[in-house]
Amino acid sequence: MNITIWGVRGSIPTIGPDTNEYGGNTSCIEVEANGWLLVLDAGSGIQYVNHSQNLKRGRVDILLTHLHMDHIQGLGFFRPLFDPSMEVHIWGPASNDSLRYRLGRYFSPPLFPVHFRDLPCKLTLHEIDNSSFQIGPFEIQSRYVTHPGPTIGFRIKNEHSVFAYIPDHEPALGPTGMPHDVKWLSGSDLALGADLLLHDGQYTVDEYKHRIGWGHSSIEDAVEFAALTGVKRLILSHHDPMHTDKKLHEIFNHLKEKNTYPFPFELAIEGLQVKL
Amino acid sequence: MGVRKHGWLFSVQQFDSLVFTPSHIFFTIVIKLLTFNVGLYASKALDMAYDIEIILNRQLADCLSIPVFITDTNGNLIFYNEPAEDILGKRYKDTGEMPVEVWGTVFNYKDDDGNALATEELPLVKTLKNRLPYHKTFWIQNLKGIAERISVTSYPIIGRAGKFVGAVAIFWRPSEE
Repeated sequence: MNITIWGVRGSIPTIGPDTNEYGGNTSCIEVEANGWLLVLDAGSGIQYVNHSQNLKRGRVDILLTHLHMDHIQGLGFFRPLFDPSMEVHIWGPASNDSLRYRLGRYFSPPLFPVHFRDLPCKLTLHEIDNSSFQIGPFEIQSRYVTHPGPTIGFRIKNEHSVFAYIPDHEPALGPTGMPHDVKWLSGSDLALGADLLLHDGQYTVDEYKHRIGWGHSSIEDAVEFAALTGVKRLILSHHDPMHTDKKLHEIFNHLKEKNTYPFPFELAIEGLQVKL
Repeated sequence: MGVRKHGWLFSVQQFDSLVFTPSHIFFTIVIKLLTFNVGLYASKALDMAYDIEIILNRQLADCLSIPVFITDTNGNLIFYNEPAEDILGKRYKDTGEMPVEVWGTVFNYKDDDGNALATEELPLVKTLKNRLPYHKTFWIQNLKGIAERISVTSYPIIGRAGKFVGAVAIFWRPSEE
């Protein structure tokens, strides 16, 4: 399983000299195995997937954790959607309104000039909740997690490894903080024992105190979540748009000084490739 | 096909070309059992945590000053908050989850005339059966032998996917109504 990180930023793209190192594009991950391509979330980072060599099967599957703007804003600029020879599958969380209706609010004027119905690709939409499904070599499980609005995380397994993807997640929500019993820990079933977990780590501890209920994690909570679920490697993503490269360095150095865990953890960097 | 568990990598294919000897049969059975267990492990992992709707109901209950009981779909008590501990006469951190057979017999229920209430008339039991909200005022006698007039509101937890995942019972003293 080949994983490439194309978008690391939460909320809004922040491309500029202060974010050159870690990157400023919003959430998007490319996952490839045996010529099958998954795109996890469609933030502004999705524009770089266009240049990938991985579209050789004529099919691409886009898995959306939720429909907040920073996770769909790149969708309209994803070239396979405008290619009549391409088969595009979009998987997203079920809600009261259909996925087509909700995505159609983005794919319509004045927000976007092209209507959903006019996209020339062979498009199929899939509504998922606590679901299990197969795409090529990937066995995928989705589960609702703690975040405002219908939001899911993914557990992606192939023959060799397990990759857990929970980019927007607040498992510590509640009066007593992070539950230490994993039965009561949102997302724990997705992450359990994963070879790699990519998890929300938007805030510092101090920032989180003022943003409880916003649906995101402090970096410390994310590392604790990874420890509780026994993951083998952790990548922290969904960086706060206010965090410059310098600030992220400070935050991470502080984290490393304070904590020791029996697994490697790091901050997501755009362009980072991981082979599982 | 390779199967990885706890750092071990087992190749099933490597056994395919062997002659069927007793040791081959033994190791084949071992491998089959291991792969079966890995499959179970993977599927159980996804059923390990409570549904998010249950988790969020607990988080809410943790913030409230009124007694709240949360059950699974079978009526097993999976959480009760601190105010509920006073009514139950037990502490959640001591008891953990309680099977329906245990906690369902903790209280005696009577109507205003002192007649025993059938279990089927209790709001939570009706909610678990019909997946609808109910409300009723009646008398209970708790573990300490104290009788108290109480109102109970119960509602089903039905998630976004329409899945029934449990039920909540909120206890009120009638003066609080």
